[in-house]
Amino acid sequence: MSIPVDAPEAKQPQLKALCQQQLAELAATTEGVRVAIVASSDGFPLASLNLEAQESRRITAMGAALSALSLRIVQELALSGLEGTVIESAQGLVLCRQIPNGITPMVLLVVTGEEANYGYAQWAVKHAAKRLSESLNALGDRPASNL
Amino acid sequence: MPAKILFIGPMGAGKTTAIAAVSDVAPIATDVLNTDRTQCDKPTTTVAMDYGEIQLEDDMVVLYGIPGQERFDFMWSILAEGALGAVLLLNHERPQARQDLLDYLDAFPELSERGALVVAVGRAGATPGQALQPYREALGARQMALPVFAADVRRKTDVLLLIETLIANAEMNAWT
Repeated sequence: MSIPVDAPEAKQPQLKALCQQQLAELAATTEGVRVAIVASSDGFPLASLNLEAQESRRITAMGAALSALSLRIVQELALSGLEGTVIESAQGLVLCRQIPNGITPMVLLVVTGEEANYGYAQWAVKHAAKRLSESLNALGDRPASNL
Repeated sequence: MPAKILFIGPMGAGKTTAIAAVSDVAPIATDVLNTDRTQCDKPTTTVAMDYGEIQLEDDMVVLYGIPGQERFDFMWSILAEGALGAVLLLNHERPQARQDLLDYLDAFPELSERGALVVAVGRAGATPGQALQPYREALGARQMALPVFAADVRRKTDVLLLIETLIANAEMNAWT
């Protein structure tokens, strides 16, 4: 697993723990979450829920590609400000959101089963990304020695 | 229908640069921050695709670049669909550049079987003739006769030569 180059080394364990905690909270409060991943924008897993390491690497890369492509499509169409990407399948959803923060660009990818409520899942993932952004920004502001 | 040409090769070989060098339109890139400086020391990396267009006399050619890292290989077959051929870019300064050539030939078997490839070796140094020898030998060992060039893909003329050679070969193959 790669660590974001611009994340100070002392903050890396905290960064991973924070991401893992947010994923667990998302899964605990949202029905139907099967898989959840936080990845660097170039496709390395930082934290994941319900995924084996090898499987995680591949899905994470796909999430990064989906996010980058979504962002580029939005820019090309001059729509500005990508909010998120949703893939609908017969058996569930794939929801992808960027996590803006001051440490390193990240992506949140969530896979749900068909039991998930579409609207609620979107809301929950949006808010999880927002909470992560806020927590990461707070982490970035703190000196590593105080963590 | 425009001809579709693919730019393939490892991370840092110059795929994004090559497309930007010749594209008539503002290229579409999906570059993000590169967090794996151990694999390649450059600030950004392509994670989905590059895209550009070039008008060659009467022919419109669309150019697609793949993301070079193996973890994005799911994009390779998607982008390769319907391609006339590919420019395989290598970075001669990578110790494993010869193996890169073989790996990418294996990763694109349909293009390899059709011989629809041109090999371009970047950073070939002061004696490019010598630098190209190991790649020619590696191809020879596989009974493959592909054009191999030393190229600086920042130069439009170099990239045009690669594209035109690829198209000429494809036209010749269509007649034989």
